[in-house]
Amino acid sequence: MKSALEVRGLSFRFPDYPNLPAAPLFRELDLELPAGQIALVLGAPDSGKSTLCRILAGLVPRFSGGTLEGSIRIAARSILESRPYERIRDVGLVFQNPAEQLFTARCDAEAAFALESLGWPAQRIRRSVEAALSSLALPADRDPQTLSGGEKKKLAVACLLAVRPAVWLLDETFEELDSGTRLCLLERLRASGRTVLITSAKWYELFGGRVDRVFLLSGGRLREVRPGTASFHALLRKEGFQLGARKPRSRATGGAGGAILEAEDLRFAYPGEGAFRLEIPHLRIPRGGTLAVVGDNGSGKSTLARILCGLLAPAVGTVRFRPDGDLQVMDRTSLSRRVAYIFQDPDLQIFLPTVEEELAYGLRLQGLEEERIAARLRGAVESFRLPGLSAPPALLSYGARKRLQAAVYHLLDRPVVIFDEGDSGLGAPEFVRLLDLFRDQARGLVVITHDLELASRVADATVRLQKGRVA
Amino acid sequence: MSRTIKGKQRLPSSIALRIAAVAVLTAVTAVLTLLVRIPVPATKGYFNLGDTVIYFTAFTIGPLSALLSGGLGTALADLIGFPTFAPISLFVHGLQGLVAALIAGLFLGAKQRRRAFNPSWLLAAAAGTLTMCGGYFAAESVMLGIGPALVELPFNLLQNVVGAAAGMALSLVVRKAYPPVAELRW
Amino acid sequence: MDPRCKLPLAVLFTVLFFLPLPLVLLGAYLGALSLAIWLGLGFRELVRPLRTIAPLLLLVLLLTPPFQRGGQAYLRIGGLTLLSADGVREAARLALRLTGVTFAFFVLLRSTAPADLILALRAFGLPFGAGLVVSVALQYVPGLKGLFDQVQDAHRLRRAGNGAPPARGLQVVRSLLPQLTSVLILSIRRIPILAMALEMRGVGRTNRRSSMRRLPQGRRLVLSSLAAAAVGLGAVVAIFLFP
Repeated sequence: MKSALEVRGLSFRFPDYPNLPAAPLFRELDLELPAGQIALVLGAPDSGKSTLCRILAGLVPRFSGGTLEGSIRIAARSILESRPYERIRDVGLVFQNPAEQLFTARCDAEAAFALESLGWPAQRIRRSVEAALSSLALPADRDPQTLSGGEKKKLAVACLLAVRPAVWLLDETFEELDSGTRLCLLERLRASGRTVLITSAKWYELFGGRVDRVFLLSGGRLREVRPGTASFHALLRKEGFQLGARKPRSRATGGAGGAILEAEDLRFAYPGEGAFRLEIPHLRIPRGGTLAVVGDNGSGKSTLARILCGLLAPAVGTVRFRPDGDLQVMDRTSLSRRVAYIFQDPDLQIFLPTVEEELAYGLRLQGLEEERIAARLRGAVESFRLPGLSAPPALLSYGARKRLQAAVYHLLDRPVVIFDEGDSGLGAPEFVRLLDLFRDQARGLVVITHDLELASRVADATVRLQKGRVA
Repeated sequence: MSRTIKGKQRLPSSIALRIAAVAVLTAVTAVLTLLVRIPVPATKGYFNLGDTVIYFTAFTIGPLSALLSGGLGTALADLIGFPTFAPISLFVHGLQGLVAALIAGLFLGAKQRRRAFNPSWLLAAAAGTLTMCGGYFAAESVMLGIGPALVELPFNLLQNVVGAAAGMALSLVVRKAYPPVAELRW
Repeated sequence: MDPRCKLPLAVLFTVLFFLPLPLVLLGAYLGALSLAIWLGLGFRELVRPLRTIAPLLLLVLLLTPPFQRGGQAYLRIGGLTLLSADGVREAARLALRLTGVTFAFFVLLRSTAPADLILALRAFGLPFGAGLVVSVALQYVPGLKGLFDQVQDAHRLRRAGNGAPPARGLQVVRSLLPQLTSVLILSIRRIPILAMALEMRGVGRTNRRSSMRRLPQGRRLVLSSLAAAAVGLGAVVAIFLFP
């Protein structure tokens, strides 16, 4: 059968920057997909899944710099000899973060844009766009910015459905979708008869029997694996694509020491947004233990976190903190001093030009002596696996930026720490390891996640939120 | 057929990249013009950070981006509340960015890595300030009369001086924190 | 009305307000514009632009007379004419000009979707790239605003409890620098990614683009043009009726 996608001897490294030499990302990587096959590439965070997709789409090294060797052919044309805009019928890409690829004011304009570039007549564009949007149940007139994360992914897929390129690259498109959408999308891809490459950091059972090939991306190479076998499942667990059974943790005091933070009768509504109201009658974060807060997007998890750390004032209700004796009612400033909130997106919490400045910032504000700061920084670099003190944070890999963000708050030593989707971009095993660094008897941890499996693995207690209420 | 593509020192001169650069910088200019309004206690006026972004762009990216994003960004910000001045902002702030970037670039050797402070920035900032204050004074004299234009002048001057200083500081910090920015030159 | 007709009208009125016309006529133009806003958009929309330009209007009315001291003097303090006939006339002219131009653009902007306005500008020869820049920038503004808010929150949380006094005056700018750095780096990082998204959708191709969405053609455009021409002609003819 004719190959739709053929990669031979692909090696790639990003450019070196001062204080941050780049390591080779791919070495002699090979991949061949016959037309019509659906392939799944499993890869841990930072293994290069997104970069691989971007290389196949001809976007890297074009827009990133770096050194690439090897050959890539898609639909019998060399990717390295032509420009991305010349190949929009050959290859399409759904970005890992689809919000980054949507740029128009309406869903139908979004789906039509590529066809307009091709110069199709208006009537034909309209038909194609309407079919693409309706097959994924997307509204034509909504502003893409107002869609939920999952809907944005669907819209990015609809843009490909409208063009129907020969090869589709879906970069972690199946993550953060509900299982119904996942199944519907996969069935649509199978029905399209196109060549599809899906990357994922997790193995979902519905992939079994629905994808034709499975590859493991690790150590800069692709290795084909056979799903369904016992060794395959052992491999999934070993590489962290699936969480294993709960490991018994040594937590003698887990939750036994009473509450470190307690919230009573919290109520909150955003001004002007009628529908959403947060109402939490009672919430308790165990001392030395972990509380998981689970729920879908928009269920109020982040709003709750913002109240607990003092960023938002509840309309009604109190948050109390217990240093050692009685619970004390806390105002917002005092809460901010005691509760760390680690955002999902590390970049929002990284400000400074070097890892060293970033880590030392809070300690210097506290007036710590330089020698003690230096000692603590060395410890943090080691336990959080940071690439060195002089590296610029903005150039680190996403996973390393997440670890740096966590290290910053670890050094600030707040008694309560909230992690918002802490495992995203880090992988569950690494996140569990980081949690252990934070866990001690005097602290309370909150893990916000939409992953029930992760919640059951790390938490002593779980609260499930649904439309702003405890379900 | 195998090929090696060496890492380029600069990003490709792609139209998409230019559109992207100007669009993003325009949005940043507009947001910081609109959003960060520091009340000036002495009067009841506001002080915005639009000029800061314009000088940042002029010293960091280049003349054409500064011209387009400075003009469009401030004009968009005006359109949201103050449409009368949008056409004036479009030309005056655009010109301000262009003048500052051209003078800042004039004294640069091609090989210079542009990592450190460059004394020509002071001249560039002065020229930019002159352009912006002069342009607004002229436009406001026609639009509002000499009196109000004179009243606005010191505020514009202050905003430029602070904007230029902050723009220089940001240019240095951002280049240190994010070296790839040096590859964006337009 | 079709944006392709509203746009030239707004420009025409702007020009008219800069012409040396009798004050009564300028007042009549302003009245017509106000009526259009009132009837088309409602009374509240008439107050909104007035409120934003109120401080400037006050400046104009207070500061113009001392610079125009000709004609009969109404108010003199110690040999200095502060208010005179010429001064009053000039102040009224400038105030009418400011209000009129603001109203002309306000009515255009409030009654037209940004996407339609860009389509109209393209019909008058705005290049595709320029229109794309403006529409993408408009799309990015709300997101960037959210980003900036979040970065400020993050900063506040990290500084909390270290006893740093709140910044004042120009210190505010200094204390903003780390946050601005974050916002700028995050934004600059998006540039190549946005460029990737644009090229993946064919920006850079040399073939002729088509467009799915078009402004209405045919009868509606003709009617719209006729109405605009009537309004424009009326405004111009009025000049000759007031000698």
